[in-house]
Amino acid sequence: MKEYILPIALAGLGTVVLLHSRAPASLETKLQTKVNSLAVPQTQARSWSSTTLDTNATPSPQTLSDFAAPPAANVSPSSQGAQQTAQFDKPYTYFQETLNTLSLCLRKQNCSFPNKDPKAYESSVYIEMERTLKTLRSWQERHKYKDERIPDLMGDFLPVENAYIKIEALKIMHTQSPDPANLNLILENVIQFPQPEVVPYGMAELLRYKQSGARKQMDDVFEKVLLQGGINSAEEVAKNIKPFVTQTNYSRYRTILAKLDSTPMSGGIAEALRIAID
Amino acid sequence: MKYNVLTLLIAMLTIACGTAEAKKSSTSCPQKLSGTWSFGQAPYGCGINQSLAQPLEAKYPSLVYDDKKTKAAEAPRFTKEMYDFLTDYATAYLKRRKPEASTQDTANWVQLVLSTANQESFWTHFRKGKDGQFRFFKGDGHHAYGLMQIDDRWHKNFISSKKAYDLGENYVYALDMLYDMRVKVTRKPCSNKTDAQSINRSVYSAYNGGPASKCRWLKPGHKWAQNDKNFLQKYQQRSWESLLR
Repeated sequence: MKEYILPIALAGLGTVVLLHSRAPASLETKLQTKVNSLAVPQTQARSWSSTTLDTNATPSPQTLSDFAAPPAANVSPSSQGAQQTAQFDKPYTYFQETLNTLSLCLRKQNCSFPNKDPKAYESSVYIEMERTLKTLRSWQERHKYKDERIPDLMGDFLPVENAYIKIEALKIMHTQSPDPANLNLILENVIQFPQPEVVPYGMAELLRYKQSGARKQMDDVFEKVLLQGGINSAEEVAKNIKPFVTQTNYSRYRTILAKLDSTPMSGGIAEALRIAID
Repeated sequence: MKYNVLTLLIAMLTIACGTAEAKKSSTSCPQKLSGTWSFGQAPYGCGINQSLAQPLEAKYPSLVYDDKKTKAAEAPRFTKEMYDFLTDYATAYLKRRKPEASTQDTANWVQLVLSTANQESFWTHFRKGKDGQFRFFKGDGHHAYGLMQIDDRWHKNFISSKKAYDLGENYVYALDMLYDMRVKVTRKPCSNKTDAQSINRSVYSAYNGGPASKCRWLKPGHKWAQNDKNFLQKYQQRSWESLLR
C-alpha cells in the first residue's frame, strides 16, 4: 500500500508546485523528474511520459514552469481573444498531450503503473488523469480562461469509464460556453452511466444546451433511464428532474410515473420522481 | 526562499497524509475473522459499528453465515437462502432493464451474476464468528467491500455513503455495473466472440480488472489471467448446485 501511496504523494507534490507559479525553476525541474518517474520502471514497460509513448505527438513542455505563463493580468477574458489563445497554447498542449497519453495507457495497458491487484493499474491511470484535469481546472479558474477548444477536449473524456474523470470533465466544461456537440456525449455517457454521482453534474450541464430539439432529446433519454436504466442512475435522474419539467412535458412524466408503479425494482425511482414533479 | 519553504512544507504534509491514509486503510479490519474459500466463509470478516450492524442483521436474518453451526448444516442452508435472494433479484432486475428478455437470455444473465458473486466472494457478505460477533466481508487488501467486492478506489461516493454494507444495495449497485458492461461488451465484443459464454467472460474481466480489461480473458499470459480461468471454472461448474440438493 505504501508503495502505491508514495508515487501518488509525489505527484501531489508536483501539483502543489505546479499551482505555485513562483517556485524556482530548479526545484520545479527536480519535481517534474519525480512526477515523470512516479511509475516504477518494469520490464518492457514504458513510462507514461507522452514523449516516450506517442511518437507522433508534438513536444511536451520542458518544465512545469511553462504552466506559470501567462500571468492572470494578461489573460483577462474580455479583450484579447486571439492573443489569449496563443498564450494558452503551451499549457493547452501539455494538458492535451498528458491526457491523450494517459488515454493510451488505458487502451494499451503498457505503461508502468502499479499492478499489485487486478484494479490497481486502471485505478492509477484514472487517479493521474483526474489529477491532471483538476490541475487544468485550477489553472483556468485562476486565469478566468475561456477557450472554445476546452469543451471539445473535455468531450473526449466523457466516454472514459470512470465517474470521477467524467465529473472533472463536466466541471471544466461548465466553466466554458456550451459546445452543442457535447449534448449527445453527455446523454450517452453521463446520464446513462451506472455510477450515479455523475448524473447531477450531467444534468446541470444539460440545462445550458438550448439548441433546437435538445429538450426532446433529453426527455427521450430521461424516460429511457427512468423506465429501463440502471436503478441508482435512474433514482438520481428522478431527484434532479424538476428543472426539466415544463407545462409541455409534464404529462409525459406523469405517464412515466404511472408505468414505474408496475415496473420491478422501481419503487425508489417512482418515489423520487413523485416528489420531484408533484 | 519563503516560497521554497512553504512549498516543501505543503509537500511534506501531502506525503504525511498519504502515509496516514495508507496505514488507516491497511488496518481497517477490526476483529478480523479468517475463513476458507467456501460459500459464506470467505476471508476476511471484519467487525463493523454496532449501529450499522444491528439494523442490517435484523434486515437480513437468514443471509448471515453462522460459524457456530456445523458446516454440514449451515453451508447448504446459507447457500439455498442466498441462491433464492440472488436469483430473484437478478431476474427482477433484468425484467426492469430488458422486459423483452427471453428465457435463455435471463438464464445467461443469472448465470453471469451468480458466477461473478461466486468468484468475487463465494457469496459471502455477513458472517457471525464463533464468538457470536457480526462481521462484514472485505477482500483485496480491504479495498473491496462485501458480496460484489465494490472497490473503494473506484466507488468513493458509494463506499462513503455506507450503502456498500447493505447486502441489497451492494448487490444492486453491482448489477447496474454488470448490466452496463454486458451491454457495452455485446455492442463491441472482443474479436468476433459473441456467444453467451464469451460475452459473460468479457464482462467478468471488465468487472474484475476495469472496463479496459474486457479482453483480458483472451490473454492467457496476462498477470491476472488466473482470475479469468477461475471465473470460467465457476461459471461452468456451478458448484453451488451441489449444496442446493
